Amino acid sequence: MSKIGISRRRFIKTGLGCVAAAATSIGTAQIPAADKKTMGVSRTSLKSLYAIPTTCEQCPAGCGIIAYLDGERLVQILGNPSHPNNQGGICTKGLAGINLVNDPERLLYPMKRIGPRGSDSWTRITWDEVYFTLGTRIKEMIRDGRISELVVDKGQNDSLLDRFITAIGSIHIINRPALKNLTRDTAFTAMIKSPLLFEDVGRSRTILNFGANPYSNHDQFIGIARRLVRARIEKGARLITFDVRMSETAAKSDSWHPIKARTDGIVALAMAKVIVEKELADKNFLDHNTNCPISKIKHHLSPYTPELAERESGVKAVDIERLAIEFATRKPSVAIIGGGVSDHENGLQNIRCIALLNWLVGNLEKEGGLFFPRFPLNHQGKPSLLSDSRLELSHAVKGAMELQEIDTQIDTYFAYLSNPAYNDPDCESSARFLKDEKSVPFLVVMDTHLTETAMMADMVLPAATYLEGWSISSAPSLDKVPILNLRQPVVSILSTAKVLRFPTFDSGKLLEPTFQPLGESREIGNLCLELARRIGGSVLASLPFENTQDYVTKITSSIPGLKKQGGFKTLKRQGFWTDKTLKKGYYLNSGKKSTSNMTQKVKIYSDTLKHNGHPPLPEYQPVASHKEMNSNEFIFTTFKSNLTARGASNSKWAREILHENRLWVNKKKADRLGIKNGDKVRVISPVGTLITRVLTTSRIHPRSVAMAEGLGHTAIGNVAKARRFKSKDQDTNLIWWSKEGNGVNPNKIIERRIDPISGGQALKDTKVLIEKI
Amino acid sequence: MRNKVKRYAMLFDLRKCIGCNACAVACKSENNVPLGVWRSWVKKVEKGHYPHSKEFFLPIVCNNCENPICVTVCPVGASIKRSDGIIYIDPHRCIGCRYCMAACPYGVRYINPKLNIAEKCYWCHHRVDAGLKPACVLACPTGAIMFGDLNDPESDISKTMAKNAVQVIKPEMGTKPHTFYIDLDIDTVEAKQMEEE
Repeated sequence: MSKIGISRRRFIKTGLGCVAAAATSIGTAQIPAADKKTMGVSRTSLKSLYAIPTTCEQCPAGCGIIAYLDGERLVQILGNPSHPNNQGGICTKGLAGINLVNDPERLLYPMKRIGPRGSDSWTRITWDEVYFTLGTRIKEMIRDGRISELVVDKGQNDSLLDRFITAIGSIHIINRPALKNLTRDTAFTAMIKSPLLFEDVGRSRTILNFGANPYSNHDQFIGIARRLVRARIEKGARLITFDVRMSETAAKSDSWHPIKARTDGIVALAMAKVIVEKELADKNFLDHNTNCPISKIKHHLSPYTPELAERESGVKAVDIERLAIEFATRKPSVAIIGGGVSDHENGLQNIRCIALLNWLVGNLEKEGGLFFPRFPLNHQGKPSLLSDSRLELSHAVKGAMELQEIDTQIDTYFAYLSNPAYNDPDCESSARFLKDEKSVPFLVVMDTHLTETAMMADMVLPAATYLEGWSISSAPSLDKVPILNLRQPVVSILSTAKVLRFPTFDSGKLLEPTFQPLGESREIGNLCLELARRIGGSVLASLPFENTQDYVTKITSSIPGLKKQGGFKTLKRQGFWTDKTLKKGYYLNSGKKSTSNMTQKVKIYSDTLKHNGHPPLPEYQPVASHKEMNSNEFIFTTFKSNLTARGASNSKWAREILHENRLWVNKKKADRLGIKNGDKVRVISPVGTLITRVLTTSRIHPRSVAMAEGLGHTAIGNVAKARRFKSKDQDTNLIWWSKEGNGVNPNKIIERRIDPISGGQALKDTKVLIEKI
Repeated sequence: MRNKVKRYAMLFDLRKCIGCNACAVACKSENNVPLGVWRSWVKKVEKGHYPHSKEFFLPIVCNNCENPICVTVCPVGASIKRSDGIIYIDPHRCIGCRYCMAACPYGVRYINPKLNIAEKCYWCHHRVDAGLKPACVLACPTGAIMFGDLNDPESDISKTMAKNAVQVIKPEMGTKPHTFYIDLDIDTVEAKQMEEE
């Protein structure tokens, strides 16, 4: 029998040990790696790394990630295996996120311009001066009743910034994330009163993909790519892609149908006609859940024969007929839509045509079809996070050039993580507009790097990266269960000595690590809160938060379900939260009339469109300018690689793989024009010219040329500019692609066209001429 | 009875590969690989004529062969094959003579420009020893990469290999590679890497 108890000597020993352990962990204590799934190990010292779950913000998908810290340094980012959307998968730019934080060329201090605009001569200023300048300007604008002279150009959503904008009044706002999807959002809002529907591709058996590239770039990127791959390989689903070029998704589809740009609508309508005429449509759904009975649709579709569609689009009539029958019989089936369809002048109607295919097979709230987003609810049963609709009070503007067109009086232009001088279509005009001190008297840019826009600014502010701050958002609910995503700082941990010197030091939080963004960079939320404090009055009253962490804590406490399941602590430990008490993955429309929870009817026939003088039923609208094209004229298309994003522009790993964007030209067509692979060509559009090399390929439609976007920066940093330089990171002295260059910026030659119905940008409609040099 | 000696292997399901380069970047971040050299990369190959063209992706890592030529030729015994099949390079022994690079039929070795020694993919053995999966396996967004013990018939990789036909790169070299592929196209292996996009 062993003696139970503890000797005095041993008691003191262990007791002291505990104290020592606690003391060493002050300020650098970590959330311990919970299980094997999230463990990391250092390559050199073999010690285990600390893992902190957080959320990626390189794109809107909101994947769960785990940041691995070796001591104080962030060394690796991997996917969070328990996150329901990405399930541990992570994309290349997400992995390269550590390049963004540890970038030696990051903007770390607020600066003021001292020379003329664009001269790149700066002097460092304090944050106090920044707050004073901005606070005074906004206060004066509010006092004089000219707050509409403030323009906020936001490249990324931030709920505190949105609250601040709402609080100060009716300003001009350029909402880049919303602008990107404006056509799609308008189309779906008109049909089902929700700006988007999620595609349940993981459970489909037939997937028609019109112009989307979820394998490389998508709003729900990894989540949807994973489900699509699994459906195809493990469940035998068929994926059919219509696209002008062979995207990564098209390359991994069961068949790729090259299609003439912006003719997706007529192919969809011809398919719809086949489905209706063969009596394969879901009559029950059309009669009960839509406002358009099948007889009316049949009559409307009668001119759209597959033969007509073949003449217009180049997709063979036999293929259209075969795929239509497959789509209607091999169920569940879904038709998905991407930028290749929506970014055209007839984008809205094209989306409506493709959506009609979904309505014909009864695809709403059904397995393998489309479903509404699910949001975490608050006490009142409303979505707990601030939605974009509250911003409707402000004037939404579609790009910097529109400000000039509508002749807006501007006092201050504030750009947050937005780079109009590079990203806008016809960006050189935007740059000229922003550079003109008469039209934009005061330009403030808040970004992580000195971007093209920041080079022209009067004041630049260092923004904290997504790995250095707090925020809360609802991730896309791909499994029909609402998800709450927490983003918490993982960089950089303050040492114990520094923490103890903090005036606001709270001994209760002794064992929690304290983070602070690198240098003097700040979160946009904290900037807004400080400005609110300086402005005071009603603005301060509507933002009663200490800092971003305080805000996130208070918001989470308003979600009743989360409170019961551990509250903020659980959220912090997991990095996300889903309500476990909810029924898993339910569909509102179970198919039976008696149990159907869906009250809403799909408006196939739109009164709003009719009222505004547009065709109310899905219709194909050909565009005259594209009919008459010479042999050396092409439709210019851009595409987004998964290696380019705002946060990955200056990433050494991303740029090493993709640093040159050649112009894709069809091989046969290039032969006819006498252009060989690698030849230099001049690409001429109505708004500009660029010179680039050609990639002759058999993976693109002969009438289109394509180019990757996100390259050809003239600012941001030496990595983005493909220049070798010496810094504390040895790798920057090993940049080997200087000779190959950093590509060209396609936005220079893109015309500013819009879809007249939705007002959304038609970025893929520019006609270009190609000349061999 | 389960064999106690492990034999690790890696399996790429090319049907699931979307050519995103996540494995290549995860490797750079895990192993601190300098710019200009790669332990893991994705080869992209275009085939066929329009409109019947096709694009293939082929992720490449070290094969950690059963009969490794690199180990045989190393004059200083710096390339070492472990009992579990992983071949690693002892950085203290390597003299940077490049014999192994010349001998390797797969061209997966490189000279580290900072250290001037040979390096290559060793399936993140520091992670494997700690009971973890290699970094690329975890990073792969579509779960196309598998890693495990072939001597364990219950492991995922054994089960998948039992169910599917698998191929290796250059089997004619007699090296018995242990990086396997599902749906590997022999033309892709031999074709030239596609030029920059």
